[in-house]
Amino acid sequence: MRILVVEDDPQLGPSLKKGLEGNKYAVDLVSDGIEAVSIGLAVPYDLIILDILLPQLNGFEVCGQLRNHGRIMPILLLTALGEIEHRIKGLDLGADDYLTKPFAFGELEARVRALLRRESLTKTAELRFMDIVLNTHTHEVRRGNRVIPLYSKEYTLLEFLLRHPRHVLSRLKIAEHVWDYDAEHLSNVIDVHICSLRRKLCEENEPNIIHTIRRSGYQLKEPQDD
Amino acid sequence: MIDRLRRLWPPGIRIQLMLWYMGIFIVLLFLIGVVFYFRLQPVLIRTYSGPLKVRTEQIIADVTNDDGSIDTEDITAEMLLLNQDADKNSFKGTGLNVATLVRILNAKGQTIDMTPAFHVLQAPSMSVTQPLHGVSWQGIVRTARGDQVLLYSVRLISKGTLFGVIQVGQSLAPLNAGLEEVINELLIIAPFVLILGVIGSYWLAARAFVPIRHLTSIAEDISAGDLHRRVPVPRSRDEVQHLALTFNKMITQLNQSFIQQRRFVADASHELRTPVAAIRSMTDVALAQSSNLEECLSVLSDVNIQAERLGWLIRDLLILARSDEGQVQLDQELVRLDLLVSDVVATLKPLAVERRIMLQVQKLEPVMVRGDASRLIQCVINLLDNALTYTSAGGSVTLMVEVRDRCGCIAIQDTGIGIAPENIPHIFERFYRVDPARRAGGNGLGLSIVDWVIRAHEGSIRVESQVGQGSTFTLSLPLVNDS
Repeated sequence: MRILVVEDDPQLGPSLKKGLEGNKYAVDLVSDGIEAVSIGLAVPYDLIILDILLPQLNGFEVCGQLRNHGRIMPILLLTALGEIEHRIKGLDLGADDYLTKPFAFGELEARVRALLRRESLTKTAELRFMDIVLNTHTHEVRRGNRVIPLYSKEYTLLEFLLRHPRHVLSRLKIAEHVWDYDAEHLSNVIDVHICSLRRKLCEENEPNIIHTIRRSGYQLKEPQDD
Repeated sequence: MIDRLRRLWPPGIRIQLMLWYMGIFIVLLFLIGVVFYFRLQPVLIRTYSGPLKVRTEQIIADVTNDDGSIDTEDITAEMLLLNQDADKNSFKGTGLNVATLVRILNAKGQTIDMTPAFHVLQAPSMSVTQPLHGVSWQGIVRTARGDQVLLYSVRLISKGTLFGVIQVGQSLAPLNAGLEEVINELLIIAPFVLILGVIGSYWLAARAFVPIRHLTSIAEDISAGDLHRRVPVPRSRDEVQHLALTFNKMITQLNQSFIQQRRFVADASHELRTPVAAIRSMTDVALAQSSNLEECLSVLSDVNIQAERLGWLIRDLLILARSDEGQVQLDQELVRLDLLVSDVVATLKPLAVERRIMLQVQKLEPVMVRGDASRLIQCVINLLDNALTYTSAGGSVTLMVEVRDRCGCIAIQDTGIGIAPENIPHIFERFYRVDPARRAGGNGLGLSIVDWVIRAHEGSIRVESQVGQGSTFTLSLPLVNDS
């Protein structure tokens, strides 16, 4: 899952990025409102964490512009402004959640997980597909009773696949949601990660569930007979 | 006010030098004063002791003259007493001034007579006993008030018989007063010397920095545009020469990196222009000849390929730009190189089959390193892609993963065209191509990226190649010693 953090504080911004990356998200960090709007329109983020007091454009304006352009990703407002009027204004402009500084990072993590599962059918921290269980809180992946150790990119990749079961996902789309701006993908690298993921998931001869769709991409689907 | 003072801090190097000089001057002046004072006193005392002895001889002569006809000590003493009783200023009569102190003792060491001022003198017993044993004595004695008196003590002999001791003292007060005056003079002169010294040092410091200011003004003239210019190097082997040499070295390095940068930009724009030109010409043709849907689709797919090529190029440029800025953060995960290589081989196998190249893995030892899996995958893909590009159909590409010299090694060996020895040092340069005319895939950045990633993992790359025989690229990465 790819998250945009808009925060101009030179300490808080990088520490948020680092903390969220520790949760296996791909994170981009920008520090002013105008940049936030342009990159928010260009990249299909899964979530935007937005500070309100920003240079150039403030968080309310960024939120409003993104919504006006039809972007529907969840937006979490993050600010020291704790008055009720501010919260109402932010939520009415299209923000999905509100967190007042100072906050515990654990709470931010939990809210991020909650916002990311809004679209999905499961409402817990666990993502499931057949016998595969991925816990977004503990970052543990199991197939049956077997714990599967994954590289962080493989984990992010699997999480993305599990959030879009049966969808055919192009390499471009995968790249956009799994890699951040600094680590622009190489389509072959995705192929190698998928290959490795398949090997690890099917180590005990379980059926393969990640299917290659020729010329299109990959699809998480129940095994078929072909 | 305080703000203004604070702005003066830290002081400039000239002021610093001046303050240092001032400190050194103060210490030197103080030392010279102290040494001068304590060396001068004994010298002056020596000039006093000669006349004192002469005066003593004169007094002794008077005494023997008075005592000339009387032989016994008692009478002599009596005579002296009487003499003094008769004329209280008998000693004054001999022409001595008030500062001269006299005491006469008999052979038993008992005081027979003395001038009134002598009462306050605390003469040591030695000054009496020593002359009684035949050795004259001289020393400085303090009065109760702390004044210093130079005392000379000698025996009295008449016709070969010792009959007493005479002590003559001379006050050192005038001498000490003179010394005090000298100190006062020094204290008055010192500030002037100090001020002159400070002004001199400020001027000297200014002089010393003239060559540096000269260098600075030349350096200011050298803008980014004319980096071929150099500052003149002075002939004297000193700090300024060293500075000028360092400066020139820095300009040379800057110039080199500017040239590199310019070449890089030129190469990059050339590489970017090629696919854009291709897209332009294909779409121009398609638009001009209102062709059928099938032709349009073929043009579109060509455009797609070119756009993808452009995308790769931009991505590679971005990776290198970010790495130059030192901004890229690499994951630090435990990576199994053998599994990574086998996954890469499985992914690229179809490409090898398509090109009819035998792609095989010869050896897969379990090797664990710490690093960024995606970046390492990218490296192996880049190297394998190169090997497949430069190997013709029917050739083979062989991979090996093994532990060698406590390093995890990935070797990729091909039977391709090989690289000439003179070209090997350049292949990791950006946009470097052995044969500029060759357009065999790639954009000339692949190996640069491999080089950067491996160096970022504290590893190394070795290249062995023979023209016509093939090349072997070996990546070495530090092993992780666990499990």
